[in-house]
Order: sequence, then C-alpha cells, then structure tokens
Amino acid sequence: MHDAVARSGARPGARAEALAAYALAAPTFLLMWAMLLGPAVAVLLLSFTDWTMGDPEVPWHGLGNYLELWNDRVFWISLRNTLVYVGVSLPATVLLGLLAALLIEGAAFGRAWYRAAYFLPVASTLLAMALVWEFMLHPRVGFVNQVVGLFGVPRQDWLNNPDLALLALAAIGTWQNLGLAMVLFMAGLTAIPKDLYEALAMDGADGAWERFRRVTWPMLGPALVFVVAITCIRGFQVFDTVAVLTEGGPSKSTEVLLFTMVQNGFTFLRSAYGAAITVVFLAFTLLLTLAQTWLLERRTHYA
Amino acid sequence: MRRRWTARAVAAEALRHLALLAGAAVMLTPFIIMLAISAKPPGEVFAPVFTLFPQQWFVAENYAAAFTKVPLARFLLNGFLVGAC
Repeated sequence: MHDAVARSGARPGARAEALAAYALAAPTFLLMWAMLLGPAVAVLLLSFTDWTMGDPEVPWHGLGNYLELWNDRVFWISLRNTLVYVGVSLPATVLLGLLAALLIEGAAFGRAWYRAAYFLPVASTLLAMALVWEFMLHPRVGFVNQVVGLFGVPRQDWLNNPDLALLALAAIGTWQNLGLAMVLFMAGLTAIPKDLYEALAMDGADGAWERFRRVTWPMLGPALVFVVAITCIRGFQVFDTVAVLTEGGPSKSTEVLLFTMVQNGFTFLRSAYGAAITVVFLAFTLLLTLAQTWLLERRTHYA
Repeated sequence: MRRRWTARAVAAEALRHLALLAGAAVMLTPFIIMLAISAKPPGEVFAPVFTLFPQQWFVAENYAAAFTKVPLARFLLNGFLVGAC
C-alpha cells in the first residue's frame, strides 16, 4: 500500500480508490466522447452555421437553419410522415412480436425452428431485401398483387400510390423488426419465475387468459417498455427502404426525416441544414430514451 | 410443468402451430421468392403469374454471372475482413 497517499486522505486509501476509479472509467469516458458525444456536439454546433461540405470557412448563422426549417414545407411533411410511419409500425411490431413470442414459447415442439424463421428478417440486410420487396410489390407481376387478388382486392401500384406507399413501407418495417421484438419478449418471458404460475393455479385461476392477465403481462412490464422504446427509435431511423424503393415519392408521400437529412446534407450539399434536421432527429431519440429510463425507474419495478 | 395431452390440449397445440406456420410463411416469403428468382432465366422473371419453380432451370448461369460480372468473391472477402476487425 502507498502510505503517503493513504495518510493524506480523510480515510485510509480513499484517494487511491478515487484515482483507481477515475483510471478505470477513463477509457469508457474517452471512447464515449470520441464516438458518441463528440460527433453529436459537432452536429449541434454545425447546425448553427452556414457551412457547406468542403468550405474552408465556417460562417456563423445563428438560428437561421432552424427558422428555415420552421418555414420549410418539406420538413413538416417529412416529420409528419415519420410520425405516421412510427404510429403504424410500432403497435403492429409490438403486438405481433408479443403474439409470436407467446405462441412460440408455449409450443410443445419446433420452437427453435419458428424462432429462426421469425428472426431471419432482422439478421438479413434490409437494403438487399428491399429489392426483393420492390419485386414483390410490382404492380403487374408482383406476388403481393397475386395474393390480394385471391381475396378479390384489385391490383394496386403499392409504391406509386401516395395513399399506400407509406403504409407499404411501414409493413416492410414491421416485417423486419417483428423478430427483434419477439426475441426481447422471449427474454422477458423466461425471466418470469415459474412459481408465480403455480401460485396462481393454487388460487384456482388456471385459464390461459387469466395466466396472461395476472402474471405474464404485469411481469413483462420492463421488457415491454424496452421493446416499445427500441422499436420506436428504429422506426424513426427508417431510411433504407425509402432510399431504395420510393426516394421520398410519390409527391413526397414517403419523405421521412433521415431521407430529408441525407438529401439536404449530401445530395444538395447543404451540410449545416442537414445538421439541423439531424438535431431534430436526435432530440426525438433522446426524448424517447429519457422516457424509457424514467418509466423503467418508476413504474416497472416489482422487487 | 408436465403437459397432459387431453383432446383439448391437442386441438390447442394444433391451432397454435397453424397460426405459427402461417406467420412463418409470411416472414419467409421474401426469402423464398429471392431464391426462386435466382433460379429463373431473365424471360421468366417477369412472367405475369409467379411460379415457385422455374420452367427452365437457370441456376448455374445466374450464379456464374453473379461471380464473374462483378468481383463478388472480393465483395464477400471484404465482408469477412470488416466483420473480423
């Protein structure tokens, strides 16, 4: 032990302990700043300038970009579309994910096979699968039109109809994220102590619905909050399918935040304006994360 | 918990698998279609009615083209290198 350090502190070894704590936290602290916080702060600062890619000077622009955003029709359409996309795909993903998890976990056999089948879209590259979806949604030879035709629904040009395009993309998003919600719910399900169900049976309630309502659903609280938060954030991040399938069209009906950002930042080379859109996007993500943390701290602890 | 295979339990299990299989079919459709198209000659890809199996098998030609028209092997190696780092 270092006697000199120990003697100078209020408590023997306190200072060495503090030093060790800082030393151990330093790598994480540095990496967090280099990888996450640094770029975020850079984007925030950039959004107050009028800089374009390759410009040697960085002219200060104050709140100019945000004022322009406020008056930008495309930005509001983009924000609205993003919210509609999340509003459709979030409940669908969470409900279907929960249903799949419950059905699979209760099955007597074939669980691994079902898990793999439902998880495959999460593990695949959405960019590549978007091409398959484009083919499936083809107005003339698409598989989807052939299937809905069996039910008497007329052929649709899914991706070129302003009323349907965003819903079609939300359906693809649900298809892709459902498996993730499912595995997260499964983790939550396995964490439920079996004796709770036995206690419920002792009390005379043994129906499937009673078991779900009195034990499974309340015990899934933390998992549910996490699934909702992560599905919501992934919904806000929708980009691949828009970029491959619709490019924001027809007539801006699938324009979403990240697509508008990439177009402004990289196609129109308006880096600072793109940064301002990114700040709005980050604000939504931060808000969701804070809401998730707050809910997990407050509502979902039963221990 | 031990299962007792009453008639009701068997029916419930059958319904469960029916629902799960229907869902799995929807989830796997894009992958199946992707494989089906990769086995078809160009003329059949845009046939008005989709068939699972091609009339004329074109597997060797398509995959040979994929590996020779673009340096696909190099792309795969790139993927491994990025994954390994």
